[in-house]
Amino acid sequence: MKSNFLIKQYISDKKMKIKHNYLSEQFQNTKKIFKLINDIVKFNDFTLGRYVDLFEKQFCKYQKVKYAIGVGSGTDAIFLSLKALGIKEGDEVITPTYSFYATAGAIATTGAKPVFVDVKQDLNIDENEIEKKITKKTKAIVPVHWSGRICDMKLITKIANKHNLHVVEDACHAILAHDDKKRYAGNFGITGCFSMHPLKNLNVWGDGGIITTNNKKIYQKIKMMRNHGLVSRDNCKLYGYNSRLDTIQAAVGLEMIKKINLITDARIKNAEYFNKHLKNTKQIELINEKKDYKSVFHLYQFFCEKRNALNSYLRKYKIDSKVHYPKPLHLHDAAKKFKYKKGQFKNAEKLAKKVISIPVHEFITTNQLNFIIKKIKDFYR
Amino acid sequence: MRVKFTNFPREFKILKKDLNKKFNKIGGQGQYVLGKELELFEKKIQKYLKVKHVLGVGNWTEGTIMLLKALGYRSGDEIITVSNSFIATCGAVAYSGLIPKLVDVGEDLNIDIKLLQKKITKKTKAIMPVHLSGIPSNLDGLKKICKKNNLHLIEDAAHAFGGKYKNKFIGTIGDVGLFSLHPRKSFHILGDGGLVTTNNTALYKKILLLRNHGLKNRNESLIWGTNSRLDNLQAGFGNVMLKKIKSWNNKQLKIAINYTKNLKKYLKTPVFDLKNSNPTFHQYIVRTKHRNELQKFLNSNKIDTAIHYPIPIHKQITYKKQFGNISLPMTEKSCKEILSLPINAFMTDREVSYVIKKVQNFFEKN
Repeated sequence: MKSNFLIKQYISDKKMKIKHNYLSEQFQNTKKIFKLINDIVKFNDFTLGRYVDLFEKQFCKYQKVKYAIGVGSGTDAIFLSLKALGIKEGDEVITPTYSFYATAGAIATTGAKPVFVDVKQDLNIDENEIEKKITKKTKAIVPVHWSGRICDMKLITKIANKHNLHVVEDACHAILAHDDKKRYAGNFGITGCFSMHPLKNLNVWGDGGIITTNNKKIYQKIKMMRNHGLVSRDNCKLYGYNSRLDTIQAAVGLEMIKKINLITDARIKNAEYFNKHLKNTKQIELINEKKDYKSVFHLYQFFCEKRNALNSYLRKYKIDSKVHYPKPLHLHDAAKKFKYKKGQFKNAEKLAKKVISIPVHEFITTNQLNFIIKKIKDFYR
Repeated sequence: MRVKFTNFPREFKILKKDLNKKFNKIGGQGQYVLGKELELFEKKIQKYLKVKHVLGVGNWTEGTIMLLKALGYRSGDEIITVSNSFIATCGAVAYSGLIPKLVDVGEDLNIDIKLLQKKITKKTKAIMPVHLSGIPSNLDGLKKICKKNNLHLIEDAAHAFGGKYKNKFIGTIGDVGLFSLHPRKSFHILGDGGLVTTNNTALYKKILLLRNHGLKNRNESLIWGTNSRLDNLQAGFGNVMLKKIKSWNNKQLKIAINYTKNLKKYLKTPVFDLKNSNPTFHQYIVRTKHRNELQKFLNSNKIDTAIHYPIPIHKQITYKKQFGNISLPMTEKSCKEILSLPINAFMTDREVSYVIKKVQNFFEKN
């Protein structure tokens, strides 16, 4: 087993002309940020310092939510939310089978069983499949706003209320996304879980996450939990955890969040451009957008024929296309003990074979967009 | 004169150029997660501590929780540890659904191995000594007991990076070592971070998976894991610090020896043995019945002090609620007497002399 498989990927990322990983380009304002780091060190303000507070406040403003708590990662955001709700071994948590491993990993880490549900054409959880999966052990639903597209939260909330279940939103991709009533991600469930991993729309320069909530009690509890359950330096009220957003990363986040509207707009514009120019290619099926919803395109994805061949073809032309992800969660070795079977979630399995992501971020030029479109069309010609 | 407990501004002044260089290098490469700097950091630590495997993780607590999971312990299993530690020692155990069995400490404020045997039950899985302030516990004795009872020896080496016990590095002597890189530690980064060290390859591989979503490669997950990776940027800062740690530890040891020589007739100085060990003196903990008055007096003379820790873990609400009342006489007695004097690699000789003089003044006056 290679100890660190990502290094190889960084090297291959660099060879691309139209990149998926744009972090070298993003590394700006370095003097200013290093100065902030300098301040943090000077004031010995390393752990949950002033910049963490400031960043949390800013995040609340943008996401239109009452409380925000900076934590170690998006995974920890989901994990801590579930823990705060008392979810434990023997419980069941419903989640889509189409997501990043962390969603199910966070559920499993609490000891609960991730109960998978199939997805719809937009890769979000199929609400109509949820109720069939509810048992006496079910405690929560974790819908994923995949690639920054809000799930049908009206229906999900209704089901959750009817069965007295918690809703924890996996909003890791969904900063600034909202539904047709302009309700922002992170405002539907008891908590919303955001990731600030370097490749997210809003990122820091390391691992980081944030939890949003409008519930004061949950806010206070998670705030304690992320810092060893401490109420003061020497008094511990409950056994907590250590999962804090680094203060230096919060300083990076404060610089980045200033640009989040521009970043989001650029991604949406790029996605619309792709949609416009690819909609008539018959080998391609675009993802349907719901009216008046705002999707923020953490990824731009579509379904296509001969996916693997197209992927290799684009990569040959140094376009960093990727597959997020080739295998639904229920088919991983990690899920073996839950005894899911191949063919159990037909839509997810079918879509995973056809899905592809092409670069959509804010650093892509119009020429590059046109080049990508041209190469896709060339491939199918 | 003001004597600070920690002195980050002085440290930063020395390191600023190198840190900035690293910052720009890593940012320019855009490698923030599991990148080259982390790999380099882990390799350098391997070499430094002479240990087979090193893993950079999110922080000490997460490292410990992943370790306890990787060792396959089950709900209800018992881990023996001490009460005079930071809450995390016990928190990580309790959080994992395991039962912390707390034992008393000896004169050196480390685990009292004479008390261990009667705490061991059928459910005991491991002993987790804390090398408080970087003074090693009785590792030979602990190893013997662990071997006899078939227990794991987990070293809480949060305070002890670079310290030695009989010519071996602390954290490499038991089955596994757990280090904290929190900014307040002698060896630290500029945020939360931790290290897991072990010579056990199977254990290493398990934690390697756990820290990154159970991923074998980008697309295949073998076990449900969590996300607890040492940031690449922080590992880069760690690489800068690593060049200095030896001289910093030496400096702290020198200050400790100086304190001891000049203060031992006034109060109980730390118990340590230079023949068999090389403590890091992350803290310099003295004991005196006049602790509160001394602290006040030093404070009025602008000398920072601290107490590690004023409320032992078994006296915390959360412990009592879950595990009931227990009595640990030495721990309870010492928590009223302990005081940590300022010690860090950036103290000047004048500052050290000033602290000594003021402590002497206090006792000579009274």
